[in-house]
Parts: sequence; structure tokens; C-alpha cells
Amino acid sequence: MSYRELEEITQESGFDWKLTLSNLIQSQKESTPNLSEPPADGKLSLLGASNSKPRLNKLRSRSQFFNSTFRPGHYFWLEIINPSEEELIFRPAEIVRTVLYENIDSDLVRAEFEKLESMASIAVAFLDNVKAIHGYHEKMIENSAICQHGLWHYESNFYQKISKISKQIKFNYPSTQSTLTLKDLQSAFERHDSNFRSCYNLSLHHQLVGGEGSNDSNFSL
Amino acid sequence: MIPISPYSILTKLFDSLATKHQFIEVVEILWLAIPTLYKVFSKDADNAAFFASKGINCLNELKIIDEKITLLRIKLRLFLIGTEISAQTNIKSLQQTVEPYQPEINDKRLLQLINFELLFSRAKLEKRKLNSGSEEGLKSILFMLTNDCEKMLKGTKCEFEAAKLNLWIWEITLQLDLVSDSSFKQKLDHCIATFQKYKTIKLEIRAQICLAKLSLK
Repeated sequence: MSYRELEEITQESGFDWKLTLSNLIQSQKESTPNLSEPPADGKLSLLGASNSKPRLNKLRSRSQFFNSTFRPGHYFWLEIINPSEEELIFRPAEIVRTVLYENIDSDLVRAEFEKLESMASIAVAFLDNVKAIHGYHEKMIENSAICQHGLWHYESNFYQKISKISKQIKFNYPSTQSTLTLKDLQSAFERHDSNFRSCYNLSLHHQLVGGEGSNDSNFSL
Repeated sequence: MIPISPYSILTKLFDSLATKHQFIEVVEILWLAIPTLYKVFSKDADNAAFFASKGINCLNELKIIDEKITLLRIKLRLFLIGTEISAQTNIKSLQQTVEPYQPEINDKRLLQLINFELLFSRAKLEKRKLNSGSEEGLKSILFMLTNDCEKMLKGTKCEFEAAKLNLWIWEITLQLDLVSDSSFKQKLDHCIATFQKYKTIKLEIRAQICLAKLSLK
């Protein structure tokens, strides 16, 4: 999940993610040190001496960004990575996932179902956007979810529900005034790559549908 | 409207009991969308096929008896066939990949559409294997399209499939210089309107080329 997406959660739900994550980070010793310390102001001035003004501004803004609560690094509970300038991605540490999935409880099953629903909304948003800009080779997408005709036409109440939500999902930065491009979608997709890959957890899905051949779900709220 | 994060949707979305049916509704969308997205965005061409196969395997393991799941399996198989056709790899057996699931589909129209997709894929494969300029081969494909595929679409009221099929029939007919129908132009215009409706630019261009060739005759 990216910093921006977490900020949006705060706007929507009031969930104080910064406090929760900082508590998590502070409560545990970091497994490895931070990737890099932000350059001090003095250092910035020195750098600026040999750089142009825009470059100096860029470095300042970057410095302010890194001076925020979170810095890229490998922590006990999570990893914070910085794939591009002014972008932070938060990922649970692999060991945390392993331990969680070792003993599947109802909370985890519920969370997994919520994740699947959320990923379905995101997937539909990607499909709608890619269709809107015609960002594909027609021959390549035959027999796929891009098709809206005949066998491929899909309609259900659930689809309508997530379709409404997916229309509110934006893949470009709010500050960017330009229209969405295939490149924007590509980088957003790359950010979600691990989320999509994690949508095939068979043992959890067995719990969701109530095991082999069963008609009852083991999962209720 | 304020753009909201997909993650903030979670709590709002999940306001009722999660049953097997809800799970089916989610995977019905998600497990077809994921391979599609990998086909569009992934740099590794094998990823799309990998996720389609993974979806099929998961569905097999879950052993859910439901028409929607069967249809999803068939769609994923057809997706794989599409991937193999576009990647020009060898397809083992078209019929065998989908046939075992067909008895589980009760909807007659759906069955017709599944069979149409299979026949159409077979025609595409035949065309791929064909040496360019082989008149006999083209005639056999034309027969397959007009005889088998067209019949299969009867009564389904699927304008896009009909337009796609007609375009192919007319392309081959023009290639073989067999045009005799005077209503040909009008039909092509209708075809173009359908492609515009579904925003399939490439098919629309192909239909326009057909129209141009016809005008030059």
C-alpha cells in the first residue's frame, strides 16, 4: 500500500494509520538499519552550491518528504520502500505473513475476503481505465475480461456495486492535472503486483467456501 | 468527488454475511480480470497464462459445484486458447479443453456461445496454419465460418459476434473474389456501426478496408 492510499484511508475512515504504524515501528527493534539518512540542511546547501536552483528545490522537497514520520527501511513488522521520488510503499514483512497464515483464524479469513473484494474493485477500475484510453492491442485481449459482448458480457448486483466504487479509484496523483496515460496505469499496476499475486490463497479460500464439497461457509460475521 | 482509496472501501463493502455465493461473485470477476491485466501490463508474456492456469487449478481444488464457476472455468480455458493463438504456440486440443465442463451448463444460449467461441478459435487456428494464397484452404475456412459458426450464432442475438464473424466471411469472400451479394455494402455499414458501439477500433478499420476494396471493384 502506498503512502497516498493510506492517507486516503484516513480521510475516508478516520483510521490513524500513522500512529498505528509508528507504534509498531517504535515497539520493535529494526531488523536492519534504515537505507539512508536524509541529507541535513547544511549538506543540502553544499549540494546546492554545485547544482541548479530547480535541483536544490527538488532536493529540499525530497528531504522534507523523508523527514516525515516514515523512512525507507526494513523493520520488524513491515518494509518501507521508496521506489520513486516522493513515493513510499508499505509492505508487511514476509515473516509476519508466514506466521499469520500458519494459523488461519476467522479474522484472517474475513480480512482475506475483504481483500478479495477490494482487489476486485481495483481490477475493475484498471479494466475501465485501460478501456477508456484503449491502451491495449485488440488482438491480444480477445477472450478476456476486456470483452463486453456475448459470452463475456457480465452483469450482477455485486458487479454494479464494485463498479460504482471502482469509478472513484484514481490511479494518477491528484496533483497531476494531466490525463491518465498508459504509463500511469502501468506503474500503478506494478505497485499492485504483489496484491494481485496474493489473490490465490487456496487454504484461505477453502475456509471461505467451507471446504471441499461443502455447502456451508465456515466464515460468518 | 474525492478520489478514495480502494483500501478504505473494504469496511464499507463488507456489510453482510460472506457466503460461498459471495465468494463466487468475487472470484468470477477477479480471477478473469487478473490474467487480463497481466496480459495488458506485464512485461513477461507468460504471466497471463500462468494466472489463468492458477485460477483453473484453484477452482478445481475448491470443488465448488456452481454454474457460474463452470462458466468461469470455460472462460479461463478460452482465455488460454486466446493467449496461445496470439502467442502462436501450439494448442493441444481445443475441444478437449472445454468439453468436459459443458454438461454443467444448463443455459442453452450460453452453450451456443461457448461452442461458437470454440469454432471461431478453430477457424483462427486453421487460418494461422494456412499457407498464404492457398485457395483451397481459404475455401475450407469459409465453409467452416458460414456453415458451422454462423449456424451456432442463430437465435443468440449477439450483434458483436455476428459482426466479427461476418467481417471475416467478407474478407475471405473478397480475397477469393466471390462477391455476388448486392446488400454486401449495407451489411458492412451495419458491421462498422457495431464495432464503433463496442469501441473495437481495429475491427472497425478492417471493415472500412473491406468497404474500400468493395468500392474499388
